[in-house]
Amino acid sequence: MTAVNSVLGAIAPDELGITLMHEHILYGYPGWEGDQSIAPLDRGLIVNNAVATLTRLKTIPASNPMSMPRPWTAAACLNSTRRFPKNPVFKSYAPPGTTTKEKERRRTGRSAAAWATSGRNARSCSCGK
Amino acid sequence: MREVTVGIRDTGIKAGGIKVGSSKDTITRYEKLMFETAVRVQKETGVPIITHTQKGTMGPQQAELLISAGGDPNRIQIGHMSDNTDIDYQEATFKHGVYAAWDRMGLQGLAGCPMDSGYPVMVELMKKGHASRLMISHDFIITWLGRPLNLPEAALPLVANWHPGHLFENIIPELKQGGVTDEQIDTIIRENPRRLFAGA
Repeated sequence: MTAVNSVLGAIAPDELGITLMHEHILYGYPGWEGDQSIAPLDRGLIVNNAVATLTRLKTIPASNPMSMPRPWTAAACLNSTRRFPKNPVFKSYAPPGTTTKEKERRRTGRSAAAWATSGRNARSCSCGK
Repeated sequence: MREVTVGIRDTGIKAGGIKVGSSKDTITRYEKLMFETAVRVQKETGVPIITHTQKGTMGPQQAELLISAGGDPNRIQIGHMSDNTDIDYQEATFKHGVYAAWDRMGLQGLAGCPMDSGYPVMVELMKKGHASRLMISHDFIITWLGRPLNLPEAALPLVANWHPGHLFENIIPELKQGGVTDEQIDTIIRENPRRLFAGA
């Protein structure tokens, strides 16, 4: 019987159990590495998110996969990504006569004051926690 | 080949599968080359091949290409089949004896294929005897490299169920309501992945 190459080494197919065939722990479109000023690689975040989500999945009882301990909150996960500055390139366009304050609001999606006092990398994912 | 037999870069972690994909309505020459190369690696290692189809097209053609190149249908999974709810498209793919994955569950709202019409199709497929070749997943992304998907507020409800618990919390109950048995569900979520990797 063919061995399955898991991240932790070869296992037998019989050891798989319930399997989600197509999920991404980490995903980036080509060119993501050129985006480091806006969205720097954060290894700790990646690992924490992955461990939290995968640990949660492992709590699903094999005998009754429908009985999740509590509802999943993907919405929280998706929303957390919105703490990024929103598309600064597109939002930087402002017609002539736009005030400085308004330009900054367009650029960051929030007021200049809020932007200045916020942690740029203060993003976390509460998904599965 | 090296990533399957030796490891990825210097990590020692070996690839457990190969993924190839094609464009909307066509498999380009370059993509065809990738499909044929994947089959060459599969022939030597037995590794499963899973695919990306674009906008619910080319599923049957992908299966045909992989098998005609010498691929083992028992070790092939055509992906993103949930992007097309046409039963004829589904059956034309299953006809080749490959596995098919409804693996964008929770994401169909964005793909233009709302699930209201999807569940009856899944139930129908199982009634036609395809449970032994069907798999379900979400194509969920735990963390994005670079800027993450930035959806406008109005689009968020479309992906409210895009999370890795969707299968267990919502899909399985919906399928059972449609008459799918516990045994069929077990086949889909446990037995089929095992058989894909075992080549059975």
